[in-house]
Amino acid sequence: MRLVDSQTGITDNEAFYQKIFAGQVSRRRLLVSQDPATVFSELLRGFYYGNETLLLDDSLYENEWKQWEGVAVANREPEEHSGKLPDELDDLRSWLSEHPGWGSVSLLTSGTTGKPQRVSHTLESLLRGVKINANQRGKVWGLAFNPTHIAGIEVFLQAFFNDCDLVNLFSLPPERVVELLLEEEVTHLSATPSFYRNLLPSLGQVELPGLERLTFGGERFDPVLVHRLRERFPAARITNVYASTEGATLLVSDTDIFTVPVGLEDSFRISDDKHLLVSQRLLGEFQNNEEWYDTGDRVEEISAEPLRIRFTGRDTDNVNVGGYNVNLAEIEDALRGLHEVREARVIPRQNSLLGQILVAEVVLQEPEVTEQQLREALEKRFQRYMVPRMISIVQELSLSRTGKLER
Amino acid sequence: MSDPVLKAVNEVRANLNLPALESLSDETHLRADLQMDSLDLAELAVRIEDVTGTDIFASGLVSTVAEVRSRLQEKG
Repeated sequence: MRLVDSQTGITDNEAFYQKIFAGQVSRRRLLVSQDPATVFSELLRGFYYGNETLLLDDSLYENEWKQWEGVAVANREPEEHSGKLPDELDDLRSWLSEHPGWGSVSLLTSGTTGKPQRVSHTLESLLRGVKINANQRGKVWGLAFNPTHIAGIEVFLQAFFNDCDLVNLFSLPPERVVELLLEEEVTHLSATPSFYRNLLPSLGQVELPGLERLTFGGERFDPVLVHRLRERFPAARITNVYASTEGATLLVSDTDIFTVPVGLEDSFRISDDKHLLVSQRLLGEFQNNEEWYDTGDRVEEISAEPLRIRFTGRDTDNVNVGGYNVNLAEIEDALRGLHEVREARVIPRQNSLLGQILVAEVVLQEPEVTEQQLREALEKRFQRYMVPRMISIVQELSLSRTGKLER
Repeated sequence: MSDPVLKAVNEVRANLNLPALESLSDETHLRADLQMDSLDLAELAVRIEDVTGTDIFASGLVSTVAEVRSRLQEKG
């Protein structure tokens, strides 16, 4: 396995092994780093020694550190690891596969649905979304997610357990990402729709014949984007993942409809208010005494047996404009569906006359289009109150630390 | 000196495909004369607020250009 980082160089098998086993062993470590080699080696060390690794990215550290000082130590008894050190990474892989409940990693949820909270995962829950078999070996994975967040960790584990190379693309400008995709012959890429939308214009006519799979996750499925990527990379398979910090990867599909897999029928339910509920036993450990965890994600039931669902958004997608309910995500989808638009964000703006009105920010694909033309295009499809009253044309839209577009 | 009220009114009108006005008299009635509905008025308020920092509807309804200007002066 090689970890290719354009800033810190290449970490090969030997160097990675050294990183894991050269340092001090402590039961519970707080790690504040964005460097994949550091984060992932500490993570593996924690799993091997049966310790808890608390991962925070720089942006959370300032605000959240105080809360973490009082967090209870992991619930296992202190115990030195009895086995001898593995001779090489291969030995470590097999040892960890056989002891997936030994150590843990703790993360903070993003807090978009309330106060950030700590979720603790063992390898067991993290490996549910990881495929380990001969077909997966020797691939080159692009790491587009923050390495301290759940999706970044899952991509790393997928690469590590299949002895694949991992190329760090996180927070690099799109032009640099394209260069690395080419130079390192990346075969597998997993990222948010926002990441792909930012990437597309920089791809130009670049051929990436080695690209086998494009995985989407972390945000609402974007059919227009998928269509554009399919046209651009007809040979690549497209996968859609439903995951969360609480549950890691929960569902996987080739389209926007997810089928609950055989054997997990009893672990997914739809509540009366159409939220997806997930059984506690599929999730990591966190403060939640309910047997069913409300994901806050709204779903539409496509069929009951087998249970097939489509995600329709979150409650926070809805705002009230002068007494009418508007789904912000629906308007964003429509804006992105216009060929003149690359990326769009629709936000409610407080107003004492109507409560809220909609305003939008868009990044254009075609520079000659005006605010008025965009509004007219939307007015053909939507009632007037659903059309953003001010559309600002911007150069780019900032993404959150998790690579998502935030309102 | 540019008039923030006139500028905002014309921005709203442009989006409604109405011609720009050269001036606004104090007696002009926003709904009756300029044919603005409540969505247009909310847009007007937000555009004026962006430039002046004042929400013209914060302390109740306004109907005429003179009332808008007076709200802006109160805060100014």
